[in-house]
Amino acid sequence: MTFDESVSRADNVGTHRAPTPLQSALISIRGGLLTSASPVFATAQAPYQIAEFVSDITSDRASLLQQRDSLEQQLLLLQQQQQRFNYLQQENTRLRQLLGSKAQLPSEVTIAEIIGVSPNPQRAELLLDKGREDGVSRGQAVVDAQGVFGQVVEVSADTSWVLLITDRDHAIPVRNSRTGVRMILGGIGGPDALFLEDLPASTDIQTGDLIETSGLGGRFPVGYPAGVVTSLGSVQDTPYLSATVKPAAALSKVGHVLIIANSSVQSAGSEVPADAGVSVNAEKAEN
Amino acid sequence: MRPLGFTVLWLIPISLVLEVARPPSFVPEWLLFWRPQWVLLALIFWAFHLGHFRGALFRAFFTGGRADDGTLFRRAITSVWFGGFFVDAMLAEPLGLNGAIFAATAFYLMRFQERLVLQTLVQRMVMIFLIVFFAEVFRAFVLNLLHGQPWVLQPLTVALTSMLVWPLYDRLGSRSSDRVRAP
Repeated sequence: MTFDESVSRADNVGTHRAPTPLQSALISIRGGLLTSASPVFATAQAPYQIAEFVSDITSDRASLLQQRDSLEQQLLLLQQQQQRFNYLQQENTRLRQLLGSKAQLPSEVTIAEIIGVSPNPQRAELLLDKGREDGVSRGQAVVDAQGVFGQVVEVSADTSWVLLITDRDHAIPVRNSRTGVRMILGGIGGPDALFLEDLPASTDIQTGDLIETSGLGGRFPVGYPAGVVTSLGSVQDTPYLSATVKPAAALSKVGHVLIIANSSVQSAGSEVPADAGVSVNAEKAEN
Repeated sequence: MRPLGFTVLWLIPISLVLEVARPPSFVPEWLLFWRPQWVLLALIFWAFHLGHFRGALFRAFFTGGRADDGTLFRRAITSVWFGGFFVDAMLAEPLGLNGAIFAATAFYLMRFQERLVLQTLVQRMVMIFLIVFFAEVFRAFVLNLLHGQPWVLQPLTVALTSMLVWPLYDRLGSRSSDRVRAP
């Protein structure tokens, strides 16, 4: 990625412009056409659903019991973590009240299943089985159990396209969890790598640092893991560092993801300046 | 033998499904660069046999029951253009990209149909390679312009696999009762 590209990407930061009437009309047309393509997606997904169904009905009792035991253990572990989380959340709320801050962690989510991928291997986009009728709208953040996944870029009545964080058109505002330094994390098109853009050479960053969302811009909720720094290097002839980050989310796996409601994210980002936000697939969003 | 219209009726939906089908998890990522252009191949098949369909539904929609005064040509180009919008939305690509590719392809095939009918299978395969290659180069150009997608060998690989798949389509056409024949 060149410096010019990252600057132009940074220019998009915080540009949540309202679409013009023409753009709104085109978005509606796209949504309508995508809705009419639902039978095609359903047919394409059918072999996987049949395989899953057959796998379910042919599972023997022993493996189901083993699976249940494993899930019970996992549940116990999560309940223990939940108790600790509740305590931390109460403490956090108290401290925020003392500071006069209104920020809240997002709580409204929609569980969606991945039902398709873009046929273009150079585009990191996935199709989910939830759409407008399930409360999904453009710009909503998508996460999985491990971290940030991407954001919704197109919505039909019952499906939606998600642009993954590894796509070239995607960038999110993040911070280093160790130092709190704010940065922009961009995709480079590869399936397993992200790129921290334009880091001054004096930035305190190390291999192994956890990069998490900063919540700036109000699109992604604060504090979600985005990835771990895997390598650092200097950009030739510039006073900048480059850092490669391994995504925290399991982007290449298929399964379920969580779509975070806009309203809950906006409250999370309400304490931050409005001019620092997220860059989005501008062409697509305005198409 | 079944009529060509029947073949097209199932070929186009199947091509759309193949286009959006999620590959199994064991398929390596590099193999996706060799995925044939199923929808474009179906369109080529349709456009190549246009004018040889016998169905009343086809005639009512594309010719309006009139003699060949260019109505079929105009309606076919317009139809594939709008069909391209549907594919654009389905594949989350820029609106109009596939419409332009489909319309240009249909125009070429309809314009030179009488000449193309005389070609052998190998000649047709070369023609398919060139059509898909130029379509993919145009697609790559637009996506490079709008999304900064880098230039890779994808137009070449996709054209190559599409060319190799074409004999199946050719066989479908030759097995139909109202197949294309040299004049």
